[in-house]
Amino acid sequence: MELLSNLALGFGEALGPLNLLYCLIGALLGTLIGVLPGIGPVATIAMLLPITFSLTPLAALIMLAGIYYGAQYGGSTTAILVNLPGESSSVVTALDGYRMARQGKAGTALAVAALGSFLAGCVGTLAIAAFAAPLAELAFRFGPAEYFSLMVLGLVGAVVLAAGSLLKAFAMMALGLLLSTIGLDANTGEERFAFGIAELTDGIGFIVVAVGVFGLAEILGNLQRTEPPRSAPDRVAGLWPSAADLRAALPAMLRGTGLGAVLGVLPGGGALLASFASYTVEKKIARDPSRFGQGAIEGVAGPEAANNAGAQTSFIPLLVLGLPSNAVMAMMIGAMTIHAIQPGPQVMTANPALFWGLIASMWIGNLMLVVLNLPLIGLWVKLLTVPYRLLYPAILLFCCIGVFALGNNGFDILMAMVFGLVGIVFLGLGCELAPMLLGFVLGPMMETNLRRTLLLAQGDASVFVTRPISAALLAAALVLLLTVLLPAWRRTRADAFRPD
Amino acid sequence: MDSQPQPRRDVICGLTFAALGALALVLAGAHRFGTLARIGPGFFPSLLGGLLVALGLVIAARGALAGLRAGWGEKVDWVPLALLAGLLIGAAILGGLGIEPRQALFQAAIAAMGVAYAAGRRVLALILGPIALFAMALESAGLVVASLGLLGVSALAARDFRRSEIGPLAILVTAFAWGLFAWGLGLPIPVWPKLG
Repeated sequence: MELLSNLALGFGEALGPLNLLYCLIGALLGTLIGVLPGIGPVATIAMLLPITFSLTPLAALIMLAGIYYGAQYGGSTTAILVNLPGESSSVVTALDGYRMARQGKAGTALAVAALGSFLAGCVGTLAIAAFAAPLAELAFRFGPAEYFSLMVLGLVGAVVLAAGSLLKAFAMMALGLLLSTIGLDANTGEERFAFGIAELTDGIGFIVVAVGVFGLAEILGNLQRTEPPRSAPDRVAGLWPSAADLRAALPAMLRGTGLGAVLGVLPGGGALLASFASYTVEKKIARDPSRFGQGAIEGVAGPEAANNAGAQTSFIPLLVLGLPSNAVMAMMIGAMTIHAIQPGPQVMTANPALFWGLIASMWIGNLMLVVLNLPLIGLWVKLLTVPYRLLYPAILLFCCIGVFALGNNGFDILMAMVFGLVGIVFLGLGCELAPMLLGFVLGPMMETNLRRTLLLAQGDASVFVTRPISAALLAAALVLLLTVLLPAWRRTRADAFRPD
Repeated sequence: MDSQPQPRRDVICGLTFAALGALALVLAGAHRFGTLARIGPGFFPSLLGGLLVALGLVIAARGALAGLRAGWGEKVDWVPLALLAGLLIGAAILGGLGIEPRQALFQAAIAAMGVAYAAGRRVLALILGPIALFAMALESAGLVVASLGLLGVSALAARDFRRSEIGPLAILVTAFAWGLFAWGLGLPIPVWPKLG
């Protein structure tokens, strides 16, 4: 079987001592930032990019991937123990997990979360391995029209799945696309919107934008909030869940895994959406929904499995199509570009050792996390007592150095600062920042493919709907849009008809 | 995920988008639009500018309708928006006066953060201000000086900062950054001030 030989190749690569070491470092760092509120995977990857310059491409990607899924493990630990989700994807875990901890079942909750994550990690890794090859096969048949339609689908997905107002998310996406047109026009070499600044003719690097709108804006947000008191929890005892607990948790884990794996692939999806969706599903199908929020074990097992499965499968569109489904995946594109790897279907054929090595390392990393995490819980909790005032200045400095190192240019840091302000402004206006970043990342590819399509079709725009794959992708985008519009439309109608 | 509708904020948000879209339309007008068969460099930005204007106006109009019907909701914090607009307009004016564009953006950024501090936005000014200074100082003053400055000033932004901690923190983290990035990884970062 081809899959087996591919996985064998992957494990052969991933089990090399250096790659194993970077997998461990990535997973541990991921857990660390997952534990610490106030620093997310985007800023961490930005800080670590200069470190990866000296690594092989595979080792670099292994470490950066570990940060993302490691963060899912770490985030749940503090959510359960101190009701302080270190990552946004662990917010729902805190609902029932913290309740369980208060009832003296912290150990059970932690173990169920870790086992659920591991189960999901295994399934997610297998899903990538199984679906990547056929999808890449399909992607090779894509012409410019298909790529354009695919990006439309991606952007619509990112807009539809963003929290809050749909219109604002659309506008943010358009703004991101607009910002991406700054710099030399790829087709004519004409300089656009550079205002005589030499650095802008190359365009703004999206790591600069990501560090600004996510990294800096996040730190500012944290400093402006009043911090909740962090109480150190009691000792954690009784890690092993009882048979009854496991019987209750296992179906939830499986449902969460399935749901997360599907949602992770969707543009705009990933870990956060998966965990929320899983919690909603568990609550809906439970015989007694009132238990949720009171320490229901399914409310921990489902979302924890879902967020990890989502984190894994969000690598599929990145690795196969070169299409990032969320901000972290956009950072991964940045890392791949630094190492001269063009993300897309050709990675698998041109560089199979890299592709399968990365996938194998994800499974290994998940195994490491479940083995290491439970014994290290005490250490993670102790880390929480390090006050934020000692952490954020260092985070700021390392982010700045990371941005500088991209092009050895101080101007990039200044741009990141400006985007930090942009992030604050739009957060204050009630806008989500993720659609802007995705628009920014996809913009150049979208424009190029649009122009190429219309050039080949001699100006006939109907090619987008007459080519079957392109038409199917556009139809999917339309369906996605309609499904969110319809209930909203109905709700609005209902509000309008409600007597005052 | 707002618990309450905030029509006032939506109106401002929509108008901001519309203004940005209009700006894009004007700037894109300098480039050839082209035909469908041969799209020019102005086509995509013009399209997006138009889209942004339309979306912004719809957002603002919906906000205005909701506001007239059910009240305007909470007050909006104007300061960040004013700072960003001031920064960009200021940079454009300075550039128009013949100042080198990079320098113009830098000076406008520093000025905006000064205004932010004066307007009582300590956290914003004490985080973003030092970053702008760091950006411009790194290449001439070197990593050690620039990062001591960044760490020392940004540490003041925390509500619970302690004066006694800041010195050791700045020195330790600077030493670590120098050891890791310049010495350990050998990144081409200037470490000491350029003399002469």
